[in-house]
Amino acid sequence: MNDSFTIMCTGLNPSEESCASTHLSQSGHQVILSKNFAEAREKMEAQRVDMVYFQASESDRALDTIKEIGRLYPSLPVIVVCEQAPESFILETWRAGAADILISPVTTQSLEASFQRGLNKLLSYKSEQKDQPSARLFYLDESGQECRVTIKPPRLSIGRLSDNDLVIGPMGVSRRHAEVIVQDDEYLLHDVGSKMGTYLNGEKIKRAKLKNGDRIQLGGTQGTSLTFHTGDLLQTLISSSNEKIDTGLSLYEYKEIGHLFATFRALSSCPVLDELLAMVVDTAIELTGAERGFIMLKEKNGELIIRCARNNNKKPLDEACFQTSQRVPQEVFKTGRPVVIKDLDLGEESETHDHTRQLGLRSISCVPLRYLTVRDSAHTSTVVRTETIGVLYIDSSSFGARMSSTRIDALETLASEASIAIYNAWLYKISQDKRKIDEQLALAREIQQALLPEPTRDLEYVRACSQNLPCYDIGGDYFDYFNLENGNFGFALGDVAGKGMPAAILASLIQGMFAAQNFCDISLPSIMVNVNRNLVPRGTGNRFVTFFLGIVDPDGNCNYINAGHNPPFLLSRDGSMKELTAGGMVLGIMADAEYEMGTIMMQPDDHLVLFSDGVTEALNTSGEEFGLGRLVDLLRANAQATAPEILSRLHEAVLSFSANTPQHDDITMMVLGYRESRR
Amino acid sequence: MKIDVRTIGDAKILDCSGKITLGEGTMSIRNTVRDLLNSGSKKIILNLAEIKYIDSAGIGELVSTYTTVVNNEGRLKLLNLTNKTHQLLTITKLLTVFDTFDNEKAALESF
Repeated sequence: MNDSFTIMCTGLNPSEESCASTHLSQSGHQVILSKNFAEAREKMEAQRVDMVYFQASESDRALDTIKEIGRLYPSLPVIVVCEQAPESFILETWRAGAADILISPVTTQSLEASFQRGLNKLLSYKSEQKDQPSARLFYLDESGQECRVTIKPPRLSIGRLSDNDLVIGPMGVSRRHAEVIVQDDEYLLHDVGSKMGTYLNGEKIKRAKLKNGDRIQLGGTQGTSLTFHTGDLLQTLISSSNEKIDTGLSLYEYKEIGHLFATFRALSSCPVLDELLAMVVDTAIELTGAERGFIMLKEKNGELIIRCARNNNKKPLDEACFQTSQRVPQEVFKTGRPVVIKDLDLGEESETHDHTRQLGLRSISCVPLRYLTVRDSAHTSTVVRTETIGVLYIDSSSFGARMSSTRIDALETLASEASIAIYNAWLYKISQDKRKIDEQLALAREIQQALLPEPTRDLEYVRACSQNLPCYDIGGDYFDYFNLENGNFGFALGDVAGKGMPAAILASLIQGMFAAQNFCDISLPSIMVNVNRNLVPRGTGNRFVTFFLGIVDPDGNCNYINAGHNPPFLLSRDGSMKELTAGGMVLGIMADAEYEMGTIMMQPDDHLVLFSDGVTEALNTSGEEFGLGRLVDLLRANAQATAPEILSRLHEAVLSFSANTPQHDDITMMVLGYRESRR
Repeated sequence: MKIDVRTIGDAKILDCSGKITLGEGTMSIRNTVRDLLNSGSKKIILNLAEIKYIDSAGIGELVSTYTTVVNNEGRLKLLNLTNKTHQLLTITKLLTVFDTFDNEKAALESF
C-alpha cells in the first residue's frame, strides 16, 4: 500500500513525537505536529487529516477530548498514546472511541501496528455509512486469494456484468445474479432472476434473510461460494459489554474484556515472534477455558507447522502431547473459515472426526490467522484481500461449555489482531536476522582483509603489489608475502573453487597452513605435498584449491610450484613472455599428488604477473570473457612499466571491460618486479 | 543440466547437457552415478559433448565423481570433452587423472 496519509500528532511527549514523526514520514506520510487539541483543531480546520495520534493521561480530560474528536470528526481514527495505566482506564479510552492504544515508550513496531489498525478503521468508515452495522461477504477470487467486500446500503448487486457492485466471473453466474438488500438493520439475499439459481446453506432460495456465517452459492451447490459476516467483532464485543455495564458487568466478563484489550496492547509492542505467539495462545486458552492451544503457521513450502504449543498453566507443551486433530486445522487453513466443534461425542460430527475423538478430544475451536492487505478500490466498495498465514487452534477434553458465540467472536478478534502483530514481528525478525548476518559478514570481511598482508611489499631487490577484490563481502582468493630469514622473498596466490563464505573459510585454512611452513629448510615440493596431504582428508568435497607459490632470491633465481593455477607470466622489458606451468595438480583432491619445482632466472626490470581466474573470466555486458588474449596484449604493451603501474592498468582494464556487469567471481592479481629501475 | 542414461553391454553412458557449475547440476551427476554404482554398474562413461559451461567447481564435481566411482571398484571414462572442459582440466593438471576419449567406441573398448 503506497498511499500517503496526513497524520496529526497532538500533545505527544518529545521522545514519542520524534519517534512517531520520524517513522511516519519515512513511510511516506505527512506529519503535522500540535501541542494540544485546541491547536490541533485549528490546524484541522485548514487541512484534512486522516489520522490522529493523541497523548492522554489518566489525570486530564483525555476521555472527553477523545469523545469530542469522535463527535467532530466521526471518521477520524484516534490512536491514543498513554503511560502505563490501569486496565479500567484503557477500557474507558477504548469505549471513548480510540482506534488503538499505545503504551509509552512507543517503538516503530507498535507505531506500525497502530497505524495499520487506524487505517483499517479509516477504510471501514470510508466504505460504510456511520451507525450502520458493517456486513461483509468473503469469497475467493480467480487466483484463489480470499477477498472481502463490504455491503453498503441500500444494496449490493452481484453478477458478471461490470456495473455490479461485486463482479464475479466464473461459469454459472448470471450477468445480474443476486443482490443483498440492507433493510432495517437486516440483510436480505435476493435472487434477481439468475439462470442457475442462488443457494443459501445448500438450499435454493428466491429471497431469504442472512445470518452471520451463512454460505451463499451462486449457480448451484458446486458454484461460486461466498460467506456472509456481520459486525465488526471488536465493536460487537464492546457494544455487548456496554449494554451489560448498565446492568452491572460481571467481574469475570469485565476481566475477560480487559484481558483481551491488555493483550492487544501488548501485541503491538512485542516484536519477538515466539513471545508474541505464546501470549496469543495463553489469551486464547484463557478466553475459552480450553486446556491446550496451538499456533500453526504456514512455512515457505506451504505446510502448516506448529510454532507454539501451550497448556492452560501458561507453560509450553511437551512434544509428546502434540497430537492434535489434523483435519480441523487443515480445513480452517484451506477455507479461511473458523471451525468450532462443541462436543465430538454427539451429533453428525462424531463420525467424520473419529480419529480426533480417539485422541480424547471433546471440543475444538480453530480460527484462521489472516493478514489483510488493501489492494484496490474496485467499483464502489473497498476490496480487501486476505492472506491466511496460519491458524489458532485450541482444544479440550471436556465439553465446550464456555464456547459462547461472544467468545468465538473474541477468539476471532484475537486472531485477527494477532495476525497483524505476527506479520509485523515476522518482518522485524527478517530485518533483524538480515542485520545480524550483515554484521557477521562485515566482521568476517574485516578479519579476512586483516589476514592479508599490506598490498605492497617493497624490499631492496624486489617490489610486490597485489589487489584482492572479493565477489561478495568475503571470498576464496588470497595472496601472501613471506620475508624469509635467509633474505629470500616468498609469495603466494591461491584460489579456492567457488566463492563467498564457504570458500573464504577454506582459503583461511590454507593461508594458515602455508604461513606455518619453513620455507628456508624444506623444499617447495615437500611443502606442497605436505599441505596437500593434510588438506585431502579434511573432506572439502569438490572444493579444490589452485595455488601458486614462488621464492625469489637477491640474485633473481626464482623457484616456484604451480598447483593447477592459471599460469602466471614472466614479463620481460622487451615484451617477451613466458608461462610458469611447472608444478602439479590442484590441492585438496588426490592425497598422493606429486609436485615438481620450476626455476626461472629473473633479469632486472622483469616482472611476474599472477592472477586468479576471476581476471580472465571477467564478463562484459555481451557475456564475453576478458580472456588471456586481452591480458597478454595489455602486459606486452606495459612491459616497461613499474609493478604498481602494471597492476593498476590491469585493474582498470578489467573494471572497464566488465563495467555494468556484476562481478561473478573473486578477482586477485599480483605483480612482482625484480630490481626495477625506478624513474 | 540434463542427464540421459544409455546402456551398452555392461557399460552405462551418461549423456550430460547444460551447465556444470557450483549448485547447478553438480548434485545430479554424483547422484546418478551413485545410483548406477548401487545397482551394480561398474563401467561408467560421462559424455560431456553437450556441456555448455563448466567452472572450477564443476571440475571439482567431476573429480569427486571419479573418486566415488573408484572407491566403489568401478571405472570412469570421460568422453567428448569440450574445449573449455579440456582447458580447465589442463590448467588444473587434472587431465592425467582421467581417461579421456573423443569417440564412444574407443571409450567402450577401453574397459
